[in-house]
Amino acid sequence: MSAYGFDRIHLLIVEDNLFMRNLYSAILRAMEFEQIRMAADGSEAFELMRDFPPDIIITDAAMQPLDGFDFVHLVRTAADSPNPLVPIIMVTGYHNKASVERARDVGVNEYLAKPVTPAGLYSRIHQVISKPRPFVRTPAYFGPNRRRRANPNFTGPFRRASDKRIGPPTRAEAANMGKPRNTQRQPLTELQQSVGVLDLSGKPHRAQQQWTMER
Amino acid sequence: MTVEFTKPDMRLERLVGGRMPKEMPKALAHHAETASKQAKEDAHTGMLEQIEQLWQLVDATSEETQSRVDEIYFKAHDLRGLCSTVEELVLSGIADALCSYIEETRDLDLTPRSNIIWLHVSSLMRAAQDHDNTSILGQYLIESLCALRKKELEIACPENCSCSFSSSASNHKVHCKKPD
Repeated sequence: MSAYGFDRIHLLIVEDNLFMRNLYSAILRAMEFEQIRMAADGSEAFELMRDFPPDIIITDAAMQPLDGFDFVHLVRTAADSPNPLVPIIMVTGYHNKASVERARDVGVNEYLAKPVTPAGLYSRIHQVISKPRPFVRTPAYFGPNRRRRANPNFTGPFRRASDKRIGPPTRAEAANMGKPRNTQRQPLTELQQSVGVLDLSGKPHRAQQQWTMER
Repeated sequence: MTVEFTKPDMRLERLVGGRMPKEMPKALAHHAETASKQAKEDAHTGMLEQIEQLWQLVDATSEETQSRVDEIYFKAHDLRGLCSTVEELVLSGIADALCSYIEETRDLDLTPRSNIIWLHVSSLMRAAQDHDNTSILGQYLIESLCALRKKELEIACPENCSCSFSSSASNHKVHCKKPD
């Protein structure tokens, strides 16, 4: 048995380059991961997920016929997705901001730019195991919360009505309430972990107390 | 608008017994580095094969069709990641220069020129054959290819501007200003 329990974790590697696949396999097996399966592109990986439910997916971005971005989008949003909540780490040669933003917007948990190193892989795996982010569903997005931290000093501008509800009150709001700002501050993460659904219509939501995703 | 939050699943942390250290333990790091070194040697051989394949593809014909450019780009992108992983930084830099050239010409709705693609791949092939390629000479080569790309795109740019070519074609037209 592995000293760190990594042998219990099922990893799915999605990479079209044979040599990169072998490199991932060598590094991860040396890190005591034993349950590893490989797929050469997104469509093969999506099929494989039914027989081998992965705990973590590590995927490349540029693949054919189904690339990494479309694969992640499929996993997160397809009606027949085996696990829309599975943590996904994207490892890619794309270094530009647009690719990072695209990866974030399709629902990637962690992004690692090549070159691949054992330390880089370990840190991303540590992040998804030990510091998982809550999942967010909005009409336009489903995936891990794209805000990694709450800034208690943020006073606006607010892009959504929900920001006012889940962030700290503005100075004007605090003044109207007659309470100092500090007493009203609540980190975003704390609130997200205590409230399942924020219904901005003001009416009580039928799934207010449920943590399970609506399918 | 309804925003629905799902509590983070701590199942994986429980699976590893809640004892995953933030920094990779030294023994594990040593094992992983050793395994990575061996795998990189194999990957190095594969990288040379892939460069040869790219060269065959580019040298075979001088006419660039859309599908052929796609294929060249896909192979060059693969090499960009593979070369950097096996620590061949000069080769990675040349592959990156080729990818940037194709990306940026596409952003301007232009077709990449076959002789410039040939020059990049020829440089890649030559640098791969030279086991003693120095980083200074390699850096000079990469900078020259990047300068060539800039010149080529400046000439081809419909607005004859000196923009960075980093934006998409539509943005480019909006932000592009003619030089004074």
